[in-house]
Amino acid sequence: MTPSIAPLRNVAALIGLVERVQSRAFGLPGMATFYGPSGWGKTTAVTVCANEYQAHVVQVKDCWTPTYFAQAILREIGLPPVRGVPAMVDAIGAQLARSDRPLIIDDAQYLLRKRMIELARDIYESCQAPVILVGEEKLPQDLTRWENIHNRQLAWEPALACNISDAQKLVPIYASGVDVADELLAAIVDASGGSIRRVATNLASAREMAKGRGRRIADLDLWGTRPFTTGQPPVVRRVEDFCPSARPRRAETVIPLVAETREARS
Amino acid sequence: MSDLFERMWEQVRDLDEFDFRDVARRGCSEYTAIRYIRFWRKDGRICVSRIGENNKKLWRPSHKLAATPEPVSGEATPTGNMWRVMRHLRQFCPTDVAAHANAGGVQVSVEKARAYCRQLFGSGHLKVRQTAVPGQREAIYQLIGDSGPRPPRPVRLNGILDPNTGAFAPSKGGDA
Repeated sequence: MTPSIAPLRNVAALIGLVERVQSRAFGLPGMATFYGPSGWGKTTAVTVCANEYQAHVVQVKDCWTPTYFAQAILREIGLPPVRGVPAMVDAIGAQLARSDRPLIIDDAQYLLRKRMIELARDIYESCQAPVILVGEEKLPQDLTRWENIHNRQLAWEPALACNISDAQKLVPIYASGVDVADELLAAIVDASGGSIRRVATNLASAREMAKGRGRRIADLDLWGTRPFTTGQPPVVRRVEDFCPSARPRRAETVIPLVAETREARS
Repeated sequence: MSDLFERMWEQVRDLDEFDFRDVARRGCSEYTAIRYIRFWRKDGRICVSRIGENNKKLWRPSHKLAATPEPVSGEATPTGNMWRVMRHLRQFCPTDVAAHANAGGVQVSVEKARAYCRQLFGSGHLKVRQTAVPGQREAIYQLIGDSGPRPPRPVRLNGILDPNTGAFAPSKGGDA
């Protein structure tokens, strides 16, 4: 069996975006942005897209400096280290121009700090190869602060939440050998809040449960009252739920403190 | 100089990179190899190619250019795609790897992904986060040795293993 998540809507959207940038007409800008909330499958889409186009992918971290960012791209391309950011940018630009492979920058919202976004623009200007920024929901608005970068965007593609059709495509991958009932699938999608990873985790749990009970169909009856993986933090527990003696006394048994002190004084 | 000295130099001058053990393997003691290397260096015949692990010096003949790493190949391969998935997802099961690696004209089955995960687990690149339950759930691995963009790949080496000392000498071919 050769499972593939390529038919998912987010994956198709990012592949379409890269295709559009790669086959753009002469003179059009070659940068693009793919944005969406955390957990909606952007990194999943980036992974498949990188395999599809053999793209270079760099996942930016909050603590990175411009020098480290350039070094990380050099390392990703497989070039020997050189001294100085300008020399690095030239080496990266020359290699990307030669190979014309896309450069995908994941978590690009961190580029906006420490002026690393200017470095991304320099690299694009050096190579004119597709540069795809992938980041959080506010990335397009934040990019408007840099007019010269905002103008170089060919397209803005929003990530899409996982829906029932995406979930149905995940069933043969993560719940293979088990039929997942429609009502359970709908409940999983609702509980997962649009996250592909959570849908996959819940489907794998349903499969494990069905296999453990020797059943071929996983439905809501089988799932019972177990909580779904929702990504939400656990609810706050109160001490009185576990220890009845810690419950506050009823109102009629509580003696007002003020009256007590008055009696004591008199 | 002795015949041995000349014979050693004849063999070493065609190598891209070597250390004293490589010289010794060609037919002299390690002590002699170190002496020869010292002499060749003073004579200007060899120079330091790079500093390896534990500050070990690796040498190359002076007339040979230093090898620079080639850029990562743009050719889609099953191991390349699987390695890329592992580097991006960090935590994954073999099904994840296969599902993400099936792109760019490459076909990766779950069995192939499982075998690759096991090999990388054996080499110390991965660790097991959750053990597998046969027939119910898969193992979950975590990448702990992200060594770079080029995929680690299994190789088979011919050579001689001495079980007494644990020393392995790769075969050079030729008659025994």
